[in-house]
Amino acid sequence: MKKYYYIILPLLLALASCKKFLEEKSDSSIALAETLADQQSLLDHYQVLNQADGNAAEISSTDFYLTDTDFLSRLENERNMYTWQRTNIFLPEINEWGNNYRAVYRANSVIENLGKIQRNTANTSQWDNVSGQAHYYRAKNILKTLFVWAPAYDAASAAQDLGVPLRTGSDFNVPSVRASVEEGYSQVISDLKVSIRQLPPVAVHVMRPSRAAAFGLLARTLVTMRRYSEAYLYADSSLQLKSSLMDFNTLNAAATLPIPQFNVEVLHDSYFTGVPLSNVRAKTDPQLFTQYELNDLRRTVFFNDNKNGTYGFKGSYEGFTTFFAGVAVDEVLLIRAECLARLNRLPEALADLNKLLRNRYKRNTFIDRNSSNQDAVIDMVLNERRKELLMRGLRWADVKRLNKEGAGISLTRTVNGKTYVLVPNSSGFVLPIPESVIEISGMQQNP
Amino acid sequence: MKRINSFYKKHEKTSFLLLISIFILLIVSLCLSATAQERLNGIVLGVDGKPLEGITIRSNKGTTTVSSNEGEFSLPLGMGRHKISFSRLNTIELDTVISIPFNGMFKVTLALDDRQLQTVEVSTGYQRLPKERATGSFAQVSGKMLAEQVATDIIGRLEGMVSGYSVDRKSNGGGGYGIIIRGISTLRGIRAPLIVLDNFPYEGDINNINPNDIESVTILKDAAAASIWGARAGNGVVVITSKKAKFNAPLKVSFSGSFKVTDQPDLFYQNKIGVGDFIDVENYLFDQGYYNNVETAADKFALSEVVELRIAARDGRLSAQETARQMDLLRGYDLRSDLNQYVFSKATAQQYSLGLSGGSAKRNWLVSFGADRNTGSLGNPFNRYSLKAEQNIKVTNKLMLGGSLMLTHSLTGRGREDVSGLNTSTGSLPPYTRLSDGDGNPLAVMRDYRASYLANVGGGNLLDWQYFPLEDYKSVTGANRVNAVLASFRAGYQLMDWLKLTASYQFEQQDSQNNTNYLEGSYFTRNLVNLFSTVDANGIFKRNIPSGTIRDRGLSLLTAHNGRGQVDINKTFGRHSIVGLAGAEIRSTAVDGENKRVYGVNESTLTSGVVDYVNAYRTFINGANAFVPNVDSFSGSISRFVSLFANAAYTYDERYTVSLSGRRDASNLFGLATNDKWNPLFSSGLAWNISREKFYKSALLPLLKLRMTFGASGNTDPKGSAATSIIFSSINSPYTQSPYAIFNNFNNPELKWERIYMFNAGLDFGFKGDRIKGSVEVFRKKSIDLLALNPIDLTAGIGYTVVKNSGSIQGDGLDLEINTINTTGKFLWSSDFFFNYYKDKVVKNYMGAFNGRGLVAGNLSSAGIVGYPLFSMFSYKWAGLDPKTGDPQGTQAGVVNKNYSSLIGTSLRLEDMVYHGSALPVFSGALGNSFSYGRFNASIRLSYKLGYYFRKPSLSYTSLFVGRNGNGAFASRWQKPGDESFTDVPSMVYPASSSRDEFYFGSEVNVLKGDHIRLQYINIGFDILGHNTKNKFLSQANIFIVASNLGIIWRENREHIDPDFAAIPDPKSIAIGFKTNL
Repeated sequence: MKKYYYIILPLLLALASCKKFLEEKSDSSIALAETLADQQSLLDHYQVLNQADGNAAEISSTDFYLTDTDFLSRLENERNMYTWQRTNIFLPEINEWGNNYRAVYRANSVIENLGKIQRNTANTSQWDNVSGQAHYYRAKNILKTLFVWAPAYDAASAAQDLGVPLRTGSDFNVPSVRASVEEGYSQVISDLKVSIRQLPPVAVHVMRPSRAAAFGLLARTLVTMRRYSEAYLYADSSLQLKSSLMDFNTLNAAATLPIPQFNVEVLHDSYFTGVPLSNVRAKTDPQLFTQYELNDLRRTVFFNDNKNGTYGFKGSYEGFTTFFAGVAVDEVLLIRAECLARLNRLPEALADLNKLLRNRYKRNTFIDRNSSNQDAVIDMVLNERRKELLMRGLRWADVKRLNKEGAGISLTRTVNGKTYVLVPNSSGFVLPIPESVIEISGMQQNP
Repeated sequence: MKRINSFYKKHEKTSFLLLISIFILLIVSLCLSATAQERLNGIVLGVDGKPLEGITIRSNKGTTTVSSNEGEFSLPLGMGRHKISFSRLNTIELDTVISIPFNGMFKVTLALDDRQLQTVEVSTGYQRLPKERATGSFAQVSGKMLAEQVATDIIGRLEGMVSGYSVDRKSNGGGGYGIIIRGISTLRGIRAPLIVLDNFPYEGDINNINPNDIESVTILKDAAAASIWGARAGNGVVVITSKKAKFNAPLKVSFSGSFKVTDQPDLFYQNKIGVGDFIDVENYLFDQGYYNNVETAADKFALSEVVELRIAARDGRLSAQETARQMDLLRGYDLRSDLNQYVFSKATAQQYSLGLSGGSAKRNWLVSFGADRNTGSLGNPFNRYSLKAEQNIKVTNKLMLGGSLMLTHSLTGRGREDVSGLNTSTGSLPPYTRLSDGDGNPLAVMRDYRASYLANVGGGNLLDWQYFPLEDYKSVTGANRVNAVLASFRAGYQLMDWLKLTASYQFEQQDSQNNTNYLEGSYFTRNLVNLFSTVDANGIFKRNIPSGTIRDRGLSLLTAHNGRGQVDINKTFGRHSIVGLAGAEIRSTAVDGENKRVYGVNESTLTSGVVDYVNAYRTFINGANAFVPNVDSFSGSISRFVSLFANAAYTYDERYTVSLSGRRDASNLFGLATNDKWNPLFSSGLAWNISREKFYKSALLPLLKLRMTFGASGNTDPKGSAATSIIFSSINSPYTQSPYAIFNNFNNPELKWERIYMFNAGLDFGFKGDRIKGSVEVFRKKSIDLLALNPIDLTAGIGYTVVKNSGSIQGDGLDLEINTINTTGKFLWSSDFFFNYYKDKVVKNYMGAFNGRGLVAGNLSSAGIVGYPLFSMFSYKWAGLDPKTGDPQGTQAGVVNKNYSSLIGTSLRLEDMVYHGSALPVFSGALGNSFSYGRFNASIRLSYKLGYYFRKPSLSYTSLFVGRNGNGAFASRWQKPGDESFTDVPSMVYPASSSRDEFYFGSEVNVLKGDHIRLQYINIGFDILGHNTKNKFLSQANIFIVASNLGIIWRENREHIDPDFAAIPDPKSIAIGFKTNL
């Protein structure tokens, strides 16, 4: 019987080493996202975090219009969105809502994974940086979602107003529930405050969030909530880190796309796209265009003359036909100016405004704006805000907010002889959630 | 980096050392004489002198054994005289009396030939067992039947040859070859069955196997047959057995060859929009201003000739008369005619095979060579050379060593370009596109940018930017070369007469190298060079991609090691007999890959250029920021399995058999603890050989056997692991210069393995003289915890679907197989017929809400609706065309309406839909007839698929406008009130409504019955030698002619659609060939 051992022994040995044999990774490019570098690689996925912002806010706004011919040549859901219909405006499977929450999931995963990685003296700065980025992206995407699918923030009713789901973990089996507008903005603010603490003042590339960008985004959040004094503080903090402006005199206005990507004003880069918004179709609202003075370089840097009395937008900070939706110095400067004006610190407000415009007007033609009337200064700033920040997906939230301030802005569109109107503070300013989401989650649809 | 280094190392580490050692072992032939004590050793031969296997040898003392595949047997007997019987299928062929001790081999010749026994033994890859002892369900195709067709590969030709096996060409889902054995058991996992070559799973490309080397193919259909393969057997197993050398066989030399010609694909088969109609549509769209944006866009996208003519006419550059004249010229062209004339040709395939084999009592060997030279319909070559060598040596009476080696080299080359699939920047090529001017001069066709723009751009600095399809392919060279090695080694030791130990090892390597060289003159290269040309502020022109060849090289190396230790027992005592095996197996399959591109290669000096992948450039046409395309990547994966398996069958008195089988697998599926990876599976079976019962005395029906099995098998979803993992992009982010990652898999602790249970009951019967024999089997299959992609709330953030255990399906089936010998004598006519029925239904559905729209998506979509087949054909209710507008109308809650968003939307309910039936054939089968008369023989095979529905291609205006893809139904569209009485095709509207198109596509008017009967092939052969075997050189010489893919001879649908093919059906082919034996 002894000879059987020669067979059985190696067999047993082989089985004992099985465990090791089976622990080999099945694919070299796969990892379990256990290291800090893994988390950073999740946050460096630019196609998901920087290049997938939504266009619903811009398509729903009226800084541009489509000719009837161009309207008719567009896809059905785009036509529905353009005319503020309440159904079939988002594709069922891939849409802006899903893209926003895809980014939220990614941020949540990173935040969860960080909980399993020891923060020690050797990795503090990297650990904080990654955590700050994740919180920034979660805040940014919830804020974008609130802009489109929730009513304007109103301190009086925010605790009751229906906001958007706030997902804070990576367990996708947890049902989605709509939180209140108040809870939504609170989370955005607290996430941004965490990121401000953790992010480095400047990032290795503007594709990554930095502290300056987080200050700027928090200023954007607070100004949308009409908490102007706080918004001032964060805008000011951002500008202390970075306040460089492009001088439009140095740009070649004749170029197809005059403004370079990643220019000195960009704090954090992201963009959206949209076939209806392309400047071969989208025509700038003529009433908006006439507000640019002749010496204002933005007339030629921002706009393409179609030679038929219409103009198309070519002033994206992306240096391409995609639309910049990140945070830039010009926006932060305008936020500070507006807040200062609302705080009745008019000379400081005007100084900010004039600083921006000096870089926008033909050299030596700009005459500093001046006024001691608070409302006039506020209007001046708001007017420049619209002229400077068009096609960045910001106008929609601005209209909602300003109507809360009593601006009474109605949006109007005429297509094929039919006129569509959104009256101030109406439910039309809150877009319907994609039907596929409502159906599966059972959440309450917007009216 | 470790990966990359090891990749190179693996390339260097050739397998030849290993191969040499195998051969040294083979060459060692020790001759130790065997002595017989109290045993009768012998060999059973047929009338033709070939060994017979599966013959039962029984003594009057009750001892029994069965002859091996070499015809040998060893029967324990006491001293003295014994009566011994030799029987097959319970028919005693010979009785004899013998005295023990008997020295030497007892040679018996039976009046049978081995052809009659051909289907008797089945192979599972672990053991070969006589079919009459098996409890499980096996189906087999003999080498003779396989040889009735001429093919380069083996798998595709099995359809219609074997019961329970079908091919779904449309969905081809889950990888593999679209093979379905007894219905689909998985939703998301790999649907293809496990393919086993001889003893081990075959990982390489099935095209590496020379079909002439194949002896037979066995399909393991039920759990008892397949469970020995465990977790990989859920979809059934296809066991390919290669030709084997035999002991005690004289030198045999065979040579065969064939030449096959295949027709050009029938480009006019698909019902496409007429050229005239298409031009009318473009004119209509131009009038609507549809092309205005494209015309003015910075992208300079290509515009069709019709649109360019209209622009020229509008801008006054062309007179109305001239425009009309040119437009009329275009109406006379048809791209398909040009493709037929200049691009497609008949495909040819030559195949030669030379085989040598022989065997003495101690040693046998086999060598075969194969050569294939094919030219595809695009002139694309495929060449394959294969060598197979095998040797088995009986070192002692107890020890047998064997080894085999298979080497394959193949080359797949490039051919002409089929531009019918070309995607221009604005859709497909227009149907009036011309490839040649008719005088033999190739023409440029539209591709990425407007011809009028390209004509004037660049001021002479750019390379020509036109695309000439009839010339361009000449500037793209390269081929895919594959070298494959399959080496195996076996050692068998007969420890006791009932106990055998076997150790086997197989090494497999497939090394493929795919080269594509886009020469300087190719459109691919010119386009990239031009796009990345820049002009700076000073007007200085610069090329950021050097002109010269762009060379892409892809390497992939598959290496698989398989080791197996196995103990076989085969013990007969009195009326009891136990056959069983137990063993352990270890497998490792690694695939490493590398893709590399080099720009600016100078072919004559072999120097290369440098490009900057880090900085973005403003591309030439629209100034968009873009990076030079970087396709360099590395990949590496390794899958490992450890398995334990055992089975045993106990037979009492050759009447009752009980079988049991179990297996556990573990693998390195990512992220699980080792313990969780073990997955135990089992099966059990019963067989009752009724015809062996004493009470059974039917001379008419000498074989009657009932068998029953029940067992489980599994399916491993390669991605279904329970951990969140990420996968790195092979290229770093160009912005942060850091790696970035996507989610590869999402942690879901609720996931379970898919499990498939099958109950099978079969009755085997054989009439006297094998005039009618066959089997009928019924089975029930239950697949539980099926993994499927389920819709998930987008808010969860992981996309719109997630893998979940989604439900259970239950299917019932029946397989009937009948072989008959209709006439004997000079005119011999035999038939084989099989009939398969399979229908499943969803019994449990864990999926969420009803999604009617999802049911009509695509050709074959799984419906998770309880009570309906898994693959069901549903459609939207149709309420005719609106007589006023020609709009399609649907019905919802009994109300006729045109609200398409609602008709296809979330408010759609099951009651609003039409259920037609199964989307997969419920009944299928084939009928083969073989005739021989004198020196002629012929065979003809029909196959059928019945009881299912398919959705025909239909007209979508969105697709016609946006992608230039039009259906011929356009001609019969609704145009004026009254048309609705004879047409269902909606009117043309502008703008197109995608939901209107989608409703029409999914409506019941576009669903047709798929039932059809197909003529698979006709084979006619002639035996040159006939009975004149005195020929000095040849012992056998046959010539044959085969016509294949003869098409459908009956179909239910009247629109002449072949429901098996999503696009153009396989064209007819005809082959001639010869087979000779020395």
